Amino acid sequence: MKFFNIFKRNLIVFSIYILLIIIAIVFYGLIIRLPLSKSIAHFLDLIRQVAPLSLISLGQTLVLLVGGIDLSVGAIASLANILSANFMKGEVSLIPISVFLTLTICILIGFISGIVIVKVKMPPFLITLAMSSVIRGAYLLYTGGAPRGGIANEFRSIAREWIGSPIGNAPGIFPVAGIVWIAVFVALLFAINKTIFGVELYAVGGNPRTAWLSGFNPNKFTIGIYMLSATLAGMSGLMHSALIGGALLHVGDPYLLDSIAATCMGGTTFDGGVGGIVGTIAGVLIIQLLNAITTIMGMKETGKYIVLGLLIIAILSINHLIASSRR
Amino acid sequence: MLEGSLKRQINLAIPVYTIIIIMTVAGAIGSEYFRTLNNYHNIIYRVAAIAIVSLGQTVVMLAGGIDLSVGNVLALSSCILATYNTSFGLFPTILVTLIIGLLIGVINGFGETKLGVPPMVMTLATMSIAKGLSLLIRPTPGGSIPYGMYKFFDYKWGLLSFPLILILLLGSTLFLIIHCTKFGRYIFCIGGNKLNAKKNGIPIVKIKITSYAICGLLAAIAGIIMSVRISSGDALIGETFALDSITAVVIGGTAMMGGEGGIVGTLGGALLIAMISNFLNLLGINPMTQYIIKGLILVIALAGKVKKSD
Repeated sequence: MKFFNIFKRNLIVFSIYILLIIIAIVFYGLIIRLPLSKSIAHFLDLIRQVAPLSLISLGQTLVLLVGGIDLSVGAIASLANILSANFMKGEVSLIPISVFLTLTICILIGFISGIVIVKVKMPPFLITLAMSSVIRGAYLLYTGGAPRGGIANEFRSIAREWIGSPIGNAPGIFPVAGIVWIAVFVALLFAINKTIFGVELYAVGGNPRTAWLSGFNPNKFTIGIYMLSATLAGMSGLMHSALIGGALLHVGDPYLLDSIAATCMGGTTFDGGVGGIVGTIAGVLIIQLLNAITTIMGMKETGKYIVLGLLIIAILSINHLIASSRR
Repeated sequence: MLEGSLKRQINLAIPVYTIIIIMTVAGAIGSEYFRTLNNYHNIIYRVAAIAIVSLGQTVVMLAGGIDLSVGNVLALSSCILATYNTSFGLFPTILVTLIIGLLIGVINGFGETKLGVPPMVMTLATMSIAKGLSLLIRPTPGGSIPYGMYKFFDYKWGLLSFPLILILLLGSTLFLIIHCTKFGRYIFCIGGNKLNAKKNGIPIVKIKITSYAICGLLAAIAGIIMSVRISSGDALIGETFALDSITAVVIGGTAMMGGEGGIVGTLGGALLIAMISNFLNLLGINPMTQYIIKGLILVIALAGKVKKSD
């Protein structure tokens, strides 16, 4: 009975996970027809590849939960990729300082967006859009259109290595990149469910005025959330650097829409205060599975865009049905 | 002052026109070429597509929605036109592109009102679908546009040219629709307070779907213009249009939440966006620095707007 209550209260999150499982079964069982051990190895590899997207989507979810939106995450991830390669120059000794500097710059960008949104009271949609334009200009100017530098092999192992010895078809028990993003996810989950942070998050997102009257400081908190989102976007850029092992221009751009799509598929709304990070992870995995499906079926990008669009409409209308039937 | 009245609308549009005048004066002083008639026509041709998309976006945003799919609807219509006009004839193809634009708009409106999907997500989804379809039709840029059509769009009568006539025609029609018809009043009502509008018996579903349909249709028209301008079809031509049109609408004084603003400001906003690149290019500013300056101009225009509306 207790389980049933939890199930009823989180129907939207459960339904997205059920959908994820269905898609996974259809994919592994019907489309590519791999034996179980190979399927598991493939899925674990998806968990490895999804690291940048899931980090960026977690940040986007937090911003949407406080009633904002962050359109600069893609540009921040691109910037982090370029800066990290530039600072690191492929040397092991420079890893800590380059990670530190990159994340500091990202936090600073989040701070500026947050403070402009809160103090000048401009729509976050446009401020973060302007911010992404400024960031893009800044990194193009900084690199002169040709990014230089390299990622040290030791740093790349974050995205490449697996822990444990190879079992079956998998190179190890679990990918390191997966551990990184799951650790971030669990830390955020703990903060939201067990600390005052979660109370404040939903209070500020639901109604900033009431939150203020209850003794919270919504302005300070919102700035903090934008800083957190920028940090996660920076981490995602670092993760992407580790995946590709060098600096490229505009690597973060595709992550922007994917992060928003994953977040709203997971049940988070644009009004703030409704939703959560648990659903987002399912959304992220669905998008990654969809990438795999369309690639394997030879539909390339075309199919991915069409299927993703139809899926978003279907999921959101089901979510709406669930939400309205409860009222 | 009545929200949506012409006077209020012009008041909201003052900051953007001020910036345009300052830029025009600065450009005329700073660059010899900026003063020429040729450059004037260049700017008009540049502004046509973005202005027409922004007009549609204004209608949607006044009704409290938002349309992110415009850019990809534009690209889709350019792909269809450039690919199929040789085999199916020019006019049938144009008709089909317009119908498809309209249809995507109707789907957007249907999704928001009937399926309950938030407009930002709904149009994000149709954007994705339109992008997929246009990549399906044209994986690589190409196709052709009849030379006569290209010539016609490029023809100039003194200060007048076809794109300018099209902007003025569509702008004034939409202006009349918004300010002189029941539909226009309803749009402001829904954008201002949806619950009140519903209680007063305004047919929200019909009005919302119509507003998205207008937006889709105008995006398809803009797609035809873009396609003629580059004389081919390109699936990725519209990537910047969604954000540019929203920016144009908002710096033109229309509220993000709807119910306030109008066409006059939007045309100014579109002109500003199309002028910035031209202006910075002619002043010899590095395209990389332009990104930064564009971002800053956007913030300044918005800050002016915030002060005015407070």
